[in-house]
Amino acid sequence: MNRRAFLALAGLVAAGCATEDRDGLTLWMWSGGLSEKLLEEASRQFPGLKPLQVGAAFKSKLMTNLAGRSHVPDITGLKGEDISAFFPNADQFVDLKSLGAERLRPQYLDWKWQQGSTAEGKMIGFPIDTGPTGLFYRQDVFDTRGIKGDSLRTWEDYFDAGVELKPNALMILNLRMVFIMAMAQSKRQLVDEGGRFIGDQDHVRHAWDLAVKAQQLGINAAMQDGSPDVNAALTTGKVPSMIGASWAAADLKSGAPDSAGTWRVALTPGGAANYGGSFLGITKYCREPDKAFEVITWLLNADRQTQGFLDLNLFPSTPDTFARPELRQPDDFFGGQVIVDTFAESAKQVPIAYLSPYEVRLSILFHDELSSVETLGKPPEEAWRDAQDKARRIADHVGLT
Amino acid sequence: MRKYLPQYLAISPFFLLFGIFGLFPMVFLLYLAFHYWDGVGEMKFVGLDQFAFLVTDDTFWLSLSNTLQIWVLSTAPTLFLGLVIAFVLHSSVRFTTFYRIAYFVPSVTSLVAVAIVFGSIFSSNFGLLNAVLDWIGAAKVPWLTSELGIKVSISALIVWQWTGYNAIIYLAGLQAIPSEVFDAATVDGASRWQILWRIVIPMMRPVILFTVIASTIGGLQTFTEAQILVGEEGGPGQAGMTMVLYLYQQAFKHNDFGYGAAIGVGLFLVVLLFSVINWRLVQRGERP
Repeated sequence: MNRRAFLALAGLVAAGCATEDRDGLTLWMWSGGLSEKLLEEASRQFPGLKPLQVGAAFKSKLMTNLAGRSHVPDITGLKGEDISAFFPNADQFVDLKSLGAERLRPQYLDWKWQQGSTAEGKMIGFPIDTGPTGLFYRQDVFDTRGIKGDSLRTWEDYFDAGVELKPNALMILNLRMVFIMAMAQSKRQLVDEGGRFIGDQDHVRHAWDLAVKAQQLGINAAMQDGSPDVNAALTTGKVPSMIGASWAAADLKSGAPDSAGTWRVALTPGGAANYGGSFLGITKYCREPDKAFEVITWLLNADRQTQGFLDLNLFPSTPDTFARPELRQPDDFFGGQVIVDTFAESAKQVPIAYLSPYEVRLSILFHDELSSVETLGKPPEEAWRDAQDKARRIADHVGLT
Repeated sequence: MRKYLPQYLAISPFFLLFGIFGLFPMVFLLYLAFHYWDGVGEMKFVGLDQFAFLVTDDTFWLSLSNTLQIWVLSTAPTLFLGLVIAFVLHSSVRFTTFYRIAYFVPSVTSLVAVAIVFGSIFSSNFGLLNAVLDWIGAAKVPWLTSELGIKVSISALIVWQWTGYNAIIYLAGLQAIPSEVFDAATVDGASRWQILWRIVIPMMRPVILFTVIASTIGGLQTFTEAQILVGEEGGPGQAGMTMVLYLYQQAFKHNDFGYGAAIGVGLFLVVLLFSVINWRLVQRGERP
């Protein structure tokens, strides 16, 4: 091959990299984020719509493509725990308010709507599903001590019931769960709208103290999330309860199938909360934002949210959907209970909380220290101080006041 | 120049790929370590701030200490067992191909699948290992929920995966030793054990050094084993938080690419230090 041929070949390769298929609308989603059936239907309804399943590490992949400014999807899913991480780069997304999102607001849960907007009021995420929490409990185990699951309204009630049941059964899966849920019940998180670190204040200390109390009462099973121990403990009734989001019902069914019929759901002790639930956003690279917005609102209107719940257990963000008979089906796994009613009640009471971009990074420090308390026996006061020191250091590092 | 074009062309793929996927990221890493960057927005020059944060970061030093402990706990048994297995394979006559394949399979098995299996083995309450311990009447060990247990579990996974690979390399080294040496030793009445320690190991010095260096570089970059076994936070007490896992967490999970790059530079310096130590050892060996 002579040099000219080589250069021509190199040029061809470079050109191949540069060309990009920009026709139509691409939509990125992770597996289980939106109903496949709905996406297929949407593709027929909107010719040119190309849904693409992007595997694990969704946020990293989206970030990478945004940084590289190429092959960025027109429409993208944004996970509930990730969306605030995109707030500092809200300019990468189209403000959905500029496309007329505001007129649809009354149809959606207010707190959920708020979560998709930055502190400056720019809306980058349109509500898909939500994760209202509930108390999952084993009726058979609770019955042995005459405990009524739906009478446990406060954390104290819940812990007292735990003391009744020990040592045959340990009420709490791990301290992280208590801390996460108690924080989710709070209106304030670790950083406020003004970029101020508030993780050293009373509301955090309260969540921390609740977790530590569970440890001191000896009702904590201290099992690590995702370990095979968890499913075994839930199946045998060794851990007879779990506070989790609506979507945890699906995990429970697949993880502890042998305990079908023994589970029930009650309102979360200590108040309603939300854990998880995602959004759809439109990137600034989208050439037809109006059409993209049409797709989004089509996919996420109240009718389609019913479908999403039936296909994938995605709990609707449209309160009108809650009362539909398709959703209000008795569930055999939960002894014929209509669990949607409980979660619907929870969903209406979730506090509105501002989530900063640093929430995940900072809260992990508290989770780590709590796991040291429960598995390594670290003194809780020392753990609290260490969590505070580390959190303050990171707050300074990322420029919080 | 023109005359040698075909030759240059023939070797160019390596240099092109190395330039794009090796050299450029390395240079960019150094540049990035002086900035604050969330991955998408503007890069902000912060001078030596990231490094100042690094040297005062307890978690970084913890990750260094974890990495070194896991490296020692995994490399020593891996190389020792590898050598013994190679020696046995070399001496045996039956089914040698079968054994060679069997020992090599672990190192080409998907690490994620392996780690999930090991997760079930080491699981505290319902794990296979604790079930066996319970059965023989011993106390259960909190493998994945204690600091030492986590390190031992991760090391066990590495040992399982790389012993066979090292054994195959040692076997190749063994086969390069002339059989006359073995014959002479046998005639002189040396036992198998003496042959291993007095003849094989000294003659295999270069091969052993190669495996030590390869294990050092691999061991200091332990990542997937820890990530799958104890999670991205490194498990209780962050006992499984290795340097690369910490880098990954800071850069890709928390979008602090500048700090991730600074950790990368720290990792580079540690690997450099160990390479120098290894190199000095080789040099000393070569002197008469």
